[in-house]
Amino acid sequence: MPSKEPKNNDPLLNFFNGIEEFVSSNAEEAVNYLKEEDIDYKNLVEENVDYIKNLQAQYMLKAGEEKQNWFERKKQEFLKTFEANREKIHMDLAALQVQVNFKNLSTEGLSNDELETLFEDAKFLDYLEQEFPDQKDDEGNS
Amino acid sequence: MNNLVLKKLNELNLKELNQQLLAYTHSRLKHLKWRHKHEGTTKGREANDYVQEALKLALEGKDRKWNPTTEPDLLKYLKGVISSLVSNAITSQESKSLTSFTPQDLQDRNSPHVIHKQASIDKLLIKEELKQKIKTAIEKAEKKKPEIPLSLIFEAMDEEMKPREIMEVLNLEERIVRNAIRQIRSISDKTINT
Repeated sequence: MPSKEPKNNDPLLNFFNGIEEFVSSNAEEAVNYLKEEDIDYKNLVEENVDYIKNLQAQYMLKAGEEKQNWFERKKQEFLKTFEANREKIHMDLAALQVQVNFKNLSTEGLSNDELETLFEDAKFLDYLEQEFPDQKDDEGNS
Repeated sequence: MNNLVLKKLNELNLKELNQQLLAYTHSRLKHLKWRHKHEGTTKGREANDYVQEALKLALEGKDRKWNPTTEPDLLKYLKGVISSLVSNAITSQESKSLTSFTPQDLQDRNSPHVIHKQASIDKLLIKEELKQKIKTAIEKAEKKKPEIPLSLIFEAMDEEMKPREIMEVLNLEERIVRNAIRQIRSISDKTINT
């Protein structure tokens, strides 16, 4: 039997680690083990799946709220910048071929409806992300 | 929130993932409680409490974040989180029992440090003795069915070999190795509990 360099001098530690990995190596092995140990695993697993789904739902809701806040923040930033750089923004958007009627941009400003329409346009959102970038962490979470 | 964990959980079979995590945690708790001889040191928390805490920590993305580049397997990562949680719960109880000591304490045979060190040596001897007992029980079982090399498989596991490596080295079918490990586990549990 080829021998590996022992990682520690605690007797049985590697053996126990091996058993722990073995009983959880796949679902079938895990169920066999849990049955042998007389654990009411079905209820616990169901409880955990509900727990994960509940956490996911909470996070999705939070993410939805964050997105809504993002829209509101960008809208304010955009409007503020727009007033100062009306001509440049008009040209940027024209270059992006945003599918909205933005003729008012260079004349009277935007109505609420026009602004809403702008925010439904994916290219406009790309433009906002590019012009008003958020700080992101390593995982891409903003 | 860790979006990567959220996304990965949506791709996985949550029922199977939880079965595996529960089996892992139950087994780990059993072994750690035995190794540290501390009943009730996990403050009344059961295996599932640790599974849920690990899932919550992973989703929140706090402390040790899941990095799929270094560890693509989310199950493996979650096992690591559970292992830390369980170990911390048990070892923090042990460290509480050891009060701070001074260099003079080392010369005092009754100092907490010296007592602690002696206790560690005693524990090591107990474990070594138990390992021998398990080996003897395995050899006894092997005599009844010599075609399955239970002793060799036990030794291989004690040398950190994975079932697949054992299969390759001993040229055995997966089914045989898996059955042998189940039998060895059963023997070791019985030996520990007697």
